[in-house]
Amino acid sequence: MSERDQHMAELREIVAEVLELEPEEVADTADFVEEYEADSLRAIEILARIEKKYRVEIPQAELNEMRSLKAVHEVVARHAGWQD
Amino acid sequence: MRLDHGELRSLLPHRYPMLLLDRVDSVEPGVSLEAVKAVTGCEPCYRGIGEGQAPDRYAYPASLLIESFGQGAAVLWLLSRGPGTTGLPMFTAARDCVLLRPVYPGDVIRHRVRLEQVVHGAAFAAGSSWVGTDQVAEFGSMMAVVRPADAIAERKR
Amino acid sequence: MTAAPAFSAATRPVDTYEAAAAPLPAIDWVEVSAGPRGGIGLRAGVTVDATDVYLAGHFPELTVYPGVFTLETIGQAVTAAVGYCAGRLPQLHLLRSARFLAPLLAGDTLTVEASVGPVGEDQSFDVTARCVRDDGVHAATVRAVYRWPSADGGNAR
Repeated sequence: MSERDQHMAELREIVAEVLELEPEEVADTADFVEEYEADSLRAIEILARIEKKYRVEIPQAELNEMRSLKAVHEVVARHAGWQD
Repeated sequence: MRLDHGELRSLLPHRYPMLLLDRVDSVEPGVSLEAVKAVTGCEPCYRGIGEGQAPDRYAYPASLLIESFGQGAAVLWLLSRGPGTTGLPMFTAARDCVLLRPVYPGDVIRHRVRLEQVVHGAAFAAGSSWVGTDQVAEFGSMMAVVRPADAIAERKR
Repeated sequence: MTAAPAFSAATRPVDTYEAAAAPLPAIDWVEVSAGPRGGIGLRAGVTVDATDVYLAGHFPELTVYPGVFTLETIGQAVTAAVGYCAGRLPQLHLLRSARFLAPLLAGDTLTVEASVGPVGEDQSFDVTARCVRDDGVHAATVRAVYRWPSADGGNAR
């Protein structure tokens, strides 16, 4: 598994747990709000888990961008210095 | 640092009979806290119980035990926010909380609360509750936010 | 090996309130239907009453039905729907996840729709509840395990 696949799998698990879905139900580009009824508190919960797991701090301004698994990965990669 | 009941009243907007902490014995603001809640048969949750019920029916309601722990978490968080905080703490989510044994009138509950994270205005706390040396509950994660009262009251109909 | 207990007939909300310590009568009505694999479906509702003694303290400036009272409503609905086992009431044992999405204010009506059971051999059963406010807003989602406690009242791990 490539580093990117590994990170995507970990992030998918976090998102699925917060949104109470099975990991395979979380599509890469599906919009959390439109597809899964997520609200701003769910987004903060996802962010909190990511910050704890990867020990990164993500500015609040980025929160609005994190609307799909793929977008979450891009934001986290930028702040965690992943070379994915 | 220790907080008596009067100090809890000035920190928390909850009032009788919903102010479910008696005292905070120790606190490291923003990190951890140990709070005390004494359960008595005088609490209004015992007012409606029918005559002649079995002893186990006097177990302290799980809803109030969870609220009491949550108020400990709120105190811990509010202390670290410092002065000027306005609004009502709202319990927004919980995960993996286990109730291990019942609590009865006469028991003194000690909550051990850790503030795990504060992320963009939301606090995440965890910990456990004890009566003597018995653990009565484990709290995996409790999430809360503070919202101004007028923002809560105002909504679309 | 004893067979897992089956769910018995429903009691009335008022009987549920009088049967055990509770902060408030947290259900106005409850309906029970058959569910898959011997489980049941339940619907229950309550209207938030600002004159309730606990709600007077949550909060004096604005009545907000606390998240833990949504848990109380679900708990009383479950109790009313599933009844007793060996004279004991079901207790919340594990709160896997609770999410409180929208506030409930004085006069708001909360409707709970839950799937309950089937009962396992350890006398525990799953409850998955979705709660809606009377304006149709999704107010809460709760996933929990309830159980009839053993005779010593404990919930051995």
